[in-house]
Amino acid sequence: MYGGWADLVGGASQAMEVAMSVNRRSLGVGFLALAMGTAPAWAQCTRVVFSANPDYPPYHWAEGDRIVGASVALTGRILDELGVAWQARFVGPWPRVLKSAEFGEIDLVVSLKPTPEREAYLEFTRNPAFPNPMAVFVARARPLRFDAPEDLVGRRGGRTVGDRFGDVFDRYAEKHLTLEDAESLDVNYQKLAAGRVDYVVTGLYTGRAHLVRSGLADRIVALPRPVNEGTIHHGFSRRSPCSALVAAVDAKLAAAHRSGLAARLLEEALQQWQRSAAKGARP
Amino acid sequence: MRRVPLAGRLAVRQALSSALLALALGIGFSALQVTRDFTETTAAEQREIAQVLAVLREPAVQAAYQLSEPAAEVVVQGALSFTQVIEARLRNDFGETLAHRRKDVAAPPADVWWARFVEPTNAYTLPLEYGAAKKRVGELRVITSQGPRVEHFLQGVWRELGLSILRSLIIVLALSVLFYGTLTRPLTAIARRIRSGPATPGEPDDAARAQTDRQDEIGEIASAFERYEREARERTLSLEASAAALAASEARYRRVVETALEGVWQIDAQGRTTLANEAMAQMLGTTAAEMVGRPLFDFMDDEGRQAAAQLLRRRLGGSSERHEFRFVRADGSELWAELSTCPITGPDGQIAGALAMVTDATERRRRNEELRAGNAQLRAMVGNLERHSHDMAQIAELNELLQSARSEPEAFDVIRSAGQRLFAEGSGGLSITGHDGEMVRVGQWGTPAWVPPHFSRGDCWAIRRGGPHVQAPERGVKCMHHPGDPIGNLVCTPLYVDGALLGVLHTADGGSGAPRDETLRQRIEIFGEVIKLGLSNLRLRESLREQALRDALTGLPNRRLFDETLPRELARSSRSGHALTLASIDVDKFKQFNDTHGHDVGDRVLRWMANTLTHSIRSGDMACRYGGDEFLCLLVDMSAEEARERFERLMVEARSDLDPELGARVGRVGFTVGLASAPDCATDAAALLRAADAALYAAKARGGRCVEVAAPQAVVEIAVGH
Repeated sequence: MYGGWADLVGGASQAMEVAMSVNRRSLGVGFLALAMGTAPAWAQCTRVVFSANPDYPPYHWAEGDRIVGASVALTGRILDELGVAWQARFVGPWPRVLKSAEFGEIDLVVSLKPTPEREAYLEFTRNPAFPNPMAVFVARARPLRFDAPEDLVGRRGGRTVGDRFGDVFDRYAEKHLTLEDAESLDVNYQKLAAGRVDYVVTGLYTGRAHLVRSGLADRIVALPRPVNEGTIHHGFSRRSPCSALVAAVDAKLAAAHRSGLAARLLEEALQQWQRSAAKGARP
Repeated sequence: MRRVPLAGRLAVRQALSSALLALALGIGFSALQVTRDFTETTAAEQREIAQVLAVLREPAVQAAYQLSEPAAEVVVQGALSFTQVIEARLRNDFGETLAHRRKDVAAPPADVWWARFVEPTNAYTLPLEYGAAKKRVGELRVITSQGPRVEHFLQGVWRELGLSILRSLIIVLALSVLFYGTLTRPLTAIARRIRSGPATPGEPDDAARAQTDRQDEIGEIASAFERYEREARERTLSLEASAAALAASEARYRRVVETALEGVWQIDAQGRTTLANEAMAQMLGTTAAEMVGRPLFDFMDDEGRQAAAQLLRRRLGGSSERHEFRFVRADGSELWAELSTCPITGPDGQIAGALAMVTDATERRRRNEELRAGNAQLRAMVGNLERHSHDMAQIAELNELLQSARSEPEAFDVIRSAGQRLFAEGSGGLSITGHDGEMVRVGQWGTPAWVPPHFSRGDCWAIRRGGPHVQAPERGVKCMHHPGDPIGNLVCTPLYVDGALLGVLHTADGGSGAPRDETLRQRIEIFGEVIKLGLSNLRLRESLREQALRDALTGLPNRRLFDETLPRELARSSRSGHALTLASIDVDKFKQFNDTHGHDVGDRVLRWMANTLTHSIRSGDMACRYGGDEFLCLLVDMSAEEARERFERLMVEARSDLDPELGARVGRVGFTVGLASAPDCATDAAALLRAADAALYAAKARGGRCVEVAAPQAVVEIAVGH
């Protein structure tokens, strides 16, 4: 009696394993539907390898072959809570990170802006991981009043090549504003400090992080009103079995946002970035 | 004079073949060189590309690592700046092409001929690895076109080939000139010398003559030819001499043929005469000129033609032989000829006809016939003699057998078997004279058996004529005993002994012999003589034996015969169990007759007694004169009492009729009988005789003229008393 029952159970699980090895991901989803409530939907995901832009402090930056920063801290905490092992891995420059996710070499790209192009190979969380507001930086010596984009008309602005600030602002800027593209944010800061431009538009937190390192923090400051309230989300590779985690991770992110954990972690990361910059540990 | 085409000239051919050999070798070595050169250029290209890739490595690694298409584009452009490179492609490690560019040059057509031997393009791949960890980030692939290199290389090859051919042509020219001087000219001089024959005397062919002095192969050829020409001249002279000798010889042989005494006749394969000499023509009664062209068969009759056609075929088959043959002369008479023939072969080795040496054999053949006839006669004579000698042997044997025969039936058997042997081819028999004068057949032989068992003496002409009588089927008077059936010639021979006819010998030859065959006649005569002699001898011997056992006075068996007979009859009686009675008879008062009337009357009394006894006994009984006036009778299968009755009746009858004269002279003659029978009185001869004698004495004692029977008991007592 007992033996027969054990055989039956063993046979079923064995058949399941064989089927899963054929098409691990699609069967994982099927299994989730069948065994709802008895096992987590991400049972096939034993470990989450994730990466991010290696140069996007304070959200995340590369330190040796690891990625550190606020994103890593938040994601690690969520995955620990979900009981999933993880690794934050440095895989190369930002385009290479995206390509690795597209080809399923990594499971998750943390804290990035959803675009239609990225949606093709990434499944984004509905709730943002972090706020990523765009801000207007000005020289302390030449302050500027900014309530609406019209306030910037007639002034010279700076922008890092390839940056976008939301469709509304981008369209307005194209018609009415004068924005000079520079190679990097550092160049823009140098130009702002030198008075060659009146303002620089960039991400609030990343801008602050760069200021810390550039040594211009006492001369340049961000205006309190953001250009827009941008957000960044987590995107799971559609080729990874760990994409089943997206709902669970989404819920945790919402909770972290509500509890203010995300904002706190950002502030901590800024401090960490500052420390590492002071030590010159950054590669 | 035959013109040798330029291409056929020895010098040109030699030069061409040398040049071709040189060209082939040149091309062979050039091909080796070309292969090596091509391998070197390939290696050089590889080295160049390796250098290019070394220069491009770092930018390519960066572009692949950064996944930067602009940077990749720069690298690909750089690669294409090298002339050999027609295509370059940079890929990242995800398999995506970051940059790809192809030169817009005319690619060599895919079906260009050298593409079968060399790949039209070469591909080189450089793996891209980033950083100290050698992380693979992509690969750079460049493709070079082989076209320009191969085309350039081929130009060199064509140039080299052209030069080779030019070199060969120069070699051809040089060698042609050289060979013309060293080979063609001397050989042409020799050839001209051979073609045009020896130069006119006094104007020697210097060019050719000079060649004989050379110390090489051409010199050898020239010398050999000079020698050959000299020998040929000598041979021609010798042949002419032979032809003359042959003509003389032929004339001589023709004379021999024409004057030969034997006929010579030659025919072709169809049998037509191609040659005949006068002797042959004379034999056939014609002339030689007329014979030529006529077929052999004209001189034969039909039978001869068939035989001749067969012979001719055999002759054409190729054998030689001698045989005799019959021809018909022109005047129709017969010619026997002996032919010795042999086949003649034509120039092609086939049989073309036949040659015959003919000798007239007519005369010899006639002599041979005569000789053969004489020989046959002689052989017949010898045969007759042999036959006669054989007959004599048979007859001598017959004579011997007849002398040994003990009775006439035995003798007749001997005669019959001898007749069968002597006259085996015919039939016959012997008849002898019987008691009543009739002829009785005693033996016959052969078939058919025709001699009648009896015939009268008067029926036979031989007996009537007193000599042999011959009766041929169509001739001569036939005897009455002739059967009338065909039995051939019949001879009846009467056999007379001392003027008395003994018998007749009949012999018929079955129709095989001549009527007057002397040998047969002699044989019959001798056979008859022997039969006469043998049979009369036998009869003489029988008569002598008779005389020894009979009493001469009475003709009765004498005492000797009786003594032989009595034990035999006793033994038979004891075997059969029948009685045997012995009678002892004595004439009463015989001494008185003798003394009173003389011995003559005494003899008549004894003869009367004998006749009386002879007439009274049965045929199986026996009466004999035992001595003096005592007679004995042996009565078989008769008891004593029967005998007593028989004798007592005889005494009463007293047969005076047997000698009436005696009765008249002496009156009645009486006799006394004593009887004893076996086995009652005795079982042996002497005892029985004594018993009979005792009974006789007893009867005498009673006064005679009575019959006394010996008593059995008395006999037993007497026997016991003995």
